[in-house]
Amino acid sequence: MKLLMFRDGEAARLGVGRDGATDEIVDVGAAANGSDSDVLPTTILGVIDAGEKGLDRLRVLASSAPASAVRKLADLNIEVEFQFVGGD
Amino acid sequence: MVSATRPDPLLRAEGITAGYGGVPVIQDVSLSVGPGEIVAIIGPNGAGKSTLLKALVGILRVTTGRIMLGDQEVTNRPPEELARRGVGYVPQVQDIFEPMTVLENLEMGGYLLPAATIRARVPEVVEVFPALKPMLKRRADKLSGGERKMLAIARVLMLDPRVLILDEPTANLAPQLADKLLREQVNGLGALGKAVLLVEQRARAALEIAAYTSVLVSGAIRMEGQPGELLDRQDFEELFLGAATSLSSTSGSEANKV
Repeated sequence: MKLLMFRDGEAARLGVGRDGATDEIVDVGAAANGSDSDVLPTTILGVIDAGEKGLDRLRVLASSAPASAVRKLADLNIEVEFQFVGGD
Repeated sequence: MVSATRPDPLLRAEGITAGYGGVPVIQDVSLSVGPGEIVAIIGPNGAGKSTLLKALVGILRVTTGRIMLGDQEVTNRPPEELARRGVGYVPQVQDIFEPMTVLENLEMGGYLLPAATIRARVPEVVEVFPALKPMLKRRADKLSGGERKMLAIARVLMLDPRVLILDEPTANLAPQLADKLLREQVNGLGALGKAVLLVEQRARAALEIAAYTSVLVSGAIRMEGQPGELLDRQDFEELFLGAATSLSSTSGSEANKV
């Protein structure tokens, strides 16, 4: 699972990777479009605070995000990026 | 009785009130912690200890009073801003990501660092908790309770906070492990110069490592002082005798819990 923060103008935004897509991410704020903004984390600290339930919500969001919320990684000004694969 | 001088406060709450849904859980609470100092907050279940911590780290709104970090007011500032300013918070639950490795958990804790420096920070943190070193590639759900809590604290240390706020780090640990965590790891954080604010159910163990202790009951500070001062007060033990069990029992036993 990939998580990253990218800068869009003055705003820092949370992005989450989609399974099988290595060159694009889902802009969490754009995908939520306000509807889940109270339960979806919008920062890495928000993800940490939300724990595994927060990660699960992001996975669901990423799998069902509209095309308008998908951003090409090459177009982003990435501040920090994490790739999680888990271990044994 | 020896009365040590307390350091200048780094984090200070001045008469804060906070709660849920407009109902205050803590009222007019004041406390402070300085560099290298361990301050414990003890009290019975439901006293408002976790609520107090959540108010201090910006998760819960403070309705009256103010919170100072150094000479700057940070009342109701968002948690991420407080993290950026050097306030680290280790919650009682949801403290690590179980499906991730130890290394991945640590790296995620460095989310505010420049990306190129996150990996370099890991060995510095592991030096504080050497037991984690051989476990970096292990999934976090394979850790023991004590190792898990070390990881939770280490993850917060990734940002090198000046203030560490720990919400009952010994919860769900066996008594011996709990004592070891407090005496070695938490005590060590104070020795590193961190200002450590510790909520702890195990009153006697907390008193052994804390330079100063506040007793929270029903959302208000009922008494406070250095451990020796508190232990000399008859009402201190009476308070806990009334709440649960004796403080004079052997350290590490179930009766040590209050």
